[in-house]
Amino acid sequence: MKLFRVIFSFIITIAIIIALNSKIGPLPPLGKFLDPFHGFWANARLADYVPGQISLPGLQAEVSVKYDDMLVPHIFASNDTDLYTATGYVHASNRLWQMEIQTHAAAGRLSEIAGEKTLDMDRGQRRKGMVFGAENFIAHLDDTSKTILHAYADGVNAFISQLDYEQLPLEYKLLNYAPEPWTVLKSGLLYKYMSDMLNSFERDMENTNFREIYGKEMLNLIYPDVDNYEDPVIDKVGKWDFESTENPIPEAAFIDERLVKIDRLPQYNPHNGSNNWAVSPEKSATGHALLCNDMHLSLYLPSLWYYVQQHSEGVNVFGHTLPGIPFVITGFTDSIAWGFTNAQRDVVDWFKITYDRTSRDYYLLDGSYVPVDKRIEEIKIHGKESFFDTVSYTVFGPITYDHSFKAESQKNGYAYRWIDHDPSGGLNMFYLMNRARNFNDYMQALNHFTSPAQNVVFASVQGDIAHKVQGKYPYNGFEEGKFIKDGSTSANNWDSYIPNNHNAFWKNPDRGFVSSANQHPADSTYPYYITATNFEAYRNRRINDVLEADSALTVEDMKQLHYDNYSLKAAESLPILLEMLNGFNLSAAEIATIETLRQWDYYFTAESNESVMFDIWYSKFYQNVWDEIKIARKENVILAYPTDYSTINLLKTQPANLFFDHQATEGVQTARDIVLKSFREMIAEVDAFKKVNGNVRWTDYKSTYIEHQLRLKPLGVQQIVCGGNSGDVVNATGRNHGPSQRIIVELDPAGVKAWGHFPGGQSGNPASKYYDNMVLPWANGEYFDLLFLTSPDAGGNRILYTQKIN
Amino acid sequence: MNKVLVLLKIIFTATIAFLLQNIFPWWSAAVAAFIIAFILYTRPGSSFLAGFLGVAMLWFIWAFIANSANDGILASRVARIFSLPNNTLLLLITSLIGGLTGGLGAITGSYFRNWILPREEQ
Repeated sequence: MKLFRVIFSFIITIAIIIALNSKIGPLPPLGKFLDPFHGFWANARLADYVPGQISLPGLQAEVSVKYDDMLVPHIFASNDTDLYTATGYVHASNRLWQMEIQTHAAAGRLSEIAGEKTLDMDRGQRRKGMVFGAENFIAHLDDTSKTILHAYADGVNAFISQLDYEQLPLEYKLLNYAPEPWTVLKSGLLYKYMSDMLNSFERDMENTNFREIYGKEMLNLIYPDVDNYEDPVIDKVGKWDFESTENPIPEAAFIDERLVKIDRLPQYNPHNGSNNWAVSPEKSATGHALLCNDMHLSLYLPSLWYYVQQHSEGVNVFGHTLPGIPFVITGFTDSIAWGFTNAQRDVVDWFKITYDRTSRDYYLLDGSYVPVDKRIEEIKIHGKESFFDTVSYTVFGPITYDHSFKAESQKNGYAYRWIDHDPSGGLNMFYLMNRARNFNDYMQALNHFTSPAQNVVFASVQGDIAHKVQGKYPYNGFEEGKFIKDGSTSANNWDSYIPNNHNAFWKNPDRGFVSSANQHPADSTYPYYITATNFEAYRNRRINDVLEADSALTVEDMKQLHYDNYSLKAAESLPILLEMLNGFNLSAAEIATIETLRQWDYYFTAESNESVMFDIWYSKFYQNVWDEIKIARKENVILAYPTDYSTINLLKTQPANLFFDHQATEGVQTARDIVLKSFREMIAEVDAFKKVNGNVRWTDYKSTYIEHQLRLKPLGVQQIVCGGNSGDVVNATGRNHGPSQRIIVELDPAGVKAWGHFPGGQSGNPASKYYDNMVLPWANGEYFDLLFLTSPDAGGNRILYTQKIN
Repeated sequence: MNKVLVLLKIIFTATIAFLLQNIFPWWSAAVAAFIIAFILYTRPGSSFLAGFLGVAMLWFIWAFIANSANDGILASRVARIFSLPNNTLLLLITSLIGGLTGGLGAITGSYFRNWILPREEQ
């Protein structure tokens, strides 16, 4: 009996301990997680703890890291290797979980953690050749970059090896897993993750379908190569001092007899874009060149960006890093500053592959059937057996869509050709740019940069400003690359590229400033054919108008321009929309709404009610116009949504166009009918919103939020009060998309000064006050003085912690 | 006498659990309670109570200190993740899980002693 009691209570105790040590359903292991010594409470206790002394075997000399009052590390090393090893350590100690999850996402490994629900996403990544591209990238690195990536990995791994459960970032504890060692390949994967986010836009399949259904003329009207205004990034009409190299023969017209029916992988937000500009000393109130940049992306916590200052022999640079990559991506040195916006270019093509009738191991190429190159991808799934996916590689690239993945055809597949499958000197560009001292250094650094294509703005203490649309672009004939290509002819593959010295570029233009906002790269006299998914048409003109108007620009003016809420889209479309309501029999309430909208100044301020009305009206209008596209997509016949500029242009020029006919409404409608229909839908929605919320403030309607990468609401920030809007407004703050950072740099020869912020904070720990301390300043237009040190001891009382690594 | 012994056991359990937990994982609290229940005899019911309260108190205090140092930032986020109305409830649940661990360790220790040692007194 006594023995029975011992055994019984022993078994119960062990069983409960095992249960409390295991993850059950969505709950973390409760005993392990709630243990105040090692569980999540330890993350609270250690929130802003920075150890003063770190031992890191392999360093050649001591490295000193000064953390300032924004928790920005200022790393002082005596050689490159030590500098980047310490950077790896610093990145890992602040952002480890983010570094790992982003590279898992790039590599198609999310299912290892999230289970089967991310399997399709993972298969998509493998089938786009993300790992293939990253491996190519790493295999062809220059020696300097290779050495640095290894040094960096050593630093990250030194941190990981010191970790026990107590110090694990919160997310590992919530999901109950542990970090794996960092590798050089992971840096390559992060690079591809960014390229995929920025440089994978295309609509080849959509164009092909549209041309098939509506004809070529309509295609050119709705999706023109160039919009009917000109305000490109590089605007030097008639001053191009080269001609295109021998003219490529346009692709033999490949008209597919059948529509492309696939269930497309999700595409990135088309509002991924940015603003940047530089002002010459002549136009600047202080006589120093100014440089500004804000890059628009989906907003997440922990923040994408992490500020670092890196100081060593031959380098002193401050700026935004991506934890996982050792270099400063955009920022400034003691002599120059540079910044990015995404270059709108076509660096993707799809090739239609025809399989051998008897075996999909062979495909038709130049008259005979040749074998595909198979790559078996093992996708591990949390709590389940691995999934094995076979990805077939052709001379063009991996077959992304086939009979087994999102496409219906048994006879055809679609092969993906992406510039980021090729080796690239991108890291070498960052290495050199981080050390640049003048205009020539900037140009030399850029020579190595092939992807992701960017509009790279530049300013220096010498007073130079410049802009270059840098990337490696396939050299296309007229309209080549806009449609699916015939994958049975190897001659259709990319075979030549626009020479680097022919990339659109200018320096110190007469107008005294350079700028870009994802618009068309060059004026119509540029010697090469250019196509892209879409070109921005509003922010660019607004920025240029504002910069043009003032001859003595100050840092304060730059801040105002960052927060400029004027909507050129509203200014150009609202008067037309209102005019189209003339002649209808309207109610008193409707007439009152029209009066309100007539008074509006087109500013998307946080308090404005008219912004809500216009935004809803325009969105309803847009949806009602392009209902044909939505209907086709439901049948997997993919078509692209046209730009706002093109939609408004159609409204102005062809109010009887067939697209204004609303499919679900009887009879034939014209633009006026659709405008009225949308107007009434808007009034109903505004009234409904007012009923629930008591007001129609733009900020409440927009309801800006930043979410944690795990989509756990309590780890994000909701209901952020701010103006602006995604897309056409310079202050591009949308619902959960917007400026992922803002920076203003004054290139003062006596010492470069900079101001900035990003929507988050330096720490990746949700327990830290530095996790989201910059969110409100970011929303309110308050900038932090970025501390740029010339020596380790120059920080004074702004330095909170000193860490010695040796 | 018995009350004093139980009080002593609570304090000893908390102390040993504190020492063990600095080195070993969370379940070492059960081991601490087991040891104390084995060494200092009380009836199994009292042993459970002493083990429960010893570890529950220790976990409460330690979590309370971590929470105060952090101004409740993380606790309020974690509480909302688990749909709890406030940090206090999260502290109490922490304490309860610790208590359960300690209590179970203690009652097993107590039965173990009953089995291998002759009973001295009732």
